[in-house]
Amino acid sequence: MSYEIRNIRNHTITSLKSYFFDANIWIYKIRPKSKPTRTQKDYSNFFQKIFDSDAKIIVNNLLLSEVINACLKIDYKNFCHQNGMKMGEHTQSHYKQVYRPSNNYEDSYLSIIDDLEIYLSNATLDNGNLSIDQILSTNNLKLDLCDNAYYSQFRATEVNFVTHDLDFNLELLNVLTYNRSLIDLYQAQMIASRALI
Amino acid sequence: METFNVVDFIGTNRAISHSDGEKLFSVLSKMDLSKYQIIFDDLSTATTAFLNASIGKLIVTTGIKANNFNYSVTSQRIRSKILRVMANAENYEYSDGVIDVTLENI
Repeated sequence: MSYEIRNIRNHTITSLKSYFFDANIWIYKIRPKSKPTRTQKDYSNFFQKIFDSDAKIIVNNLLLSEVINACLKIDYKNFCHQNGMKMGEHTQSHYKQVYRPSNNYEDSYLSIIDDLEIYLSNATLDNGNLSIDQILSTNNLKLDLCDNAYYSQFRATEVNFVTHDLDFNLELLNVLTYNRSLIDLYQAQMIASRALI
Repeated sequence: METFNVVDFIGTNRAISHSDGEKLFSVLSKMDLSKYQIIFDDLSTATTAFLNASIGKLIVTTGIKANNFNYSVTSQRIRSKILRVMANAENYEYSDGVIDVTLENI
């Protein structure tokens, strides 16, 4: 099984390929910045190309949970700001007891789900067959629990893992990225490993 | 007042892509919006990405106020998204900062 980190700019999409997009990229789509960076637009456009193609988009429960919760919190903070609340008033109890029962929360939730339903119309839910030991694996302590679970599920598979996260310079994972630092890190390691042979 | 129908412009009732949103923005930004009502009525679907790249960008780059943006939309789901995109665009320094922090921590 090859291990590669490749620049998306050199990637060819085909219907036989499958893609897992890291949570950040879903957030670029569902809660885009009003002034997105060039890179964020590039990921958004790449996602759109996959969505418009016959290639497969893979999601799992953990990813959906991570994305939905992050987008809800983004909307909550904006709601607080737009209603004149100060930072200290953005408490967990306010979120649960005041915001969550409100129409604003419902509106936020439905908006996120509506976007997801559009993008997931072409997606495949794949939770893998991970054991508890794999999910709680401590092999990669530099990864958080979600990233570690994604790695456990997609390592040694043909799935293209699309991410901008520098942490995913990992063996046995096929990574696609626009992150120049991640590509450089990989190439430097390849050169170093060849020098040892 | 003249009308500008979004469905006629993008050629579909599914407004999904960021790039279609940018195309809409490029046209709207050249129009005298005080003379037009923008019609979203025939859309069956609109993503936040599409609305952000069109209306959101319009508010950020031209400074037009959401209150002065004359539009018509029948879908409650799409109306809700339009209002959210406009509010975030009017407060983009804060709302973009919130997203940056979220992306750093996820």
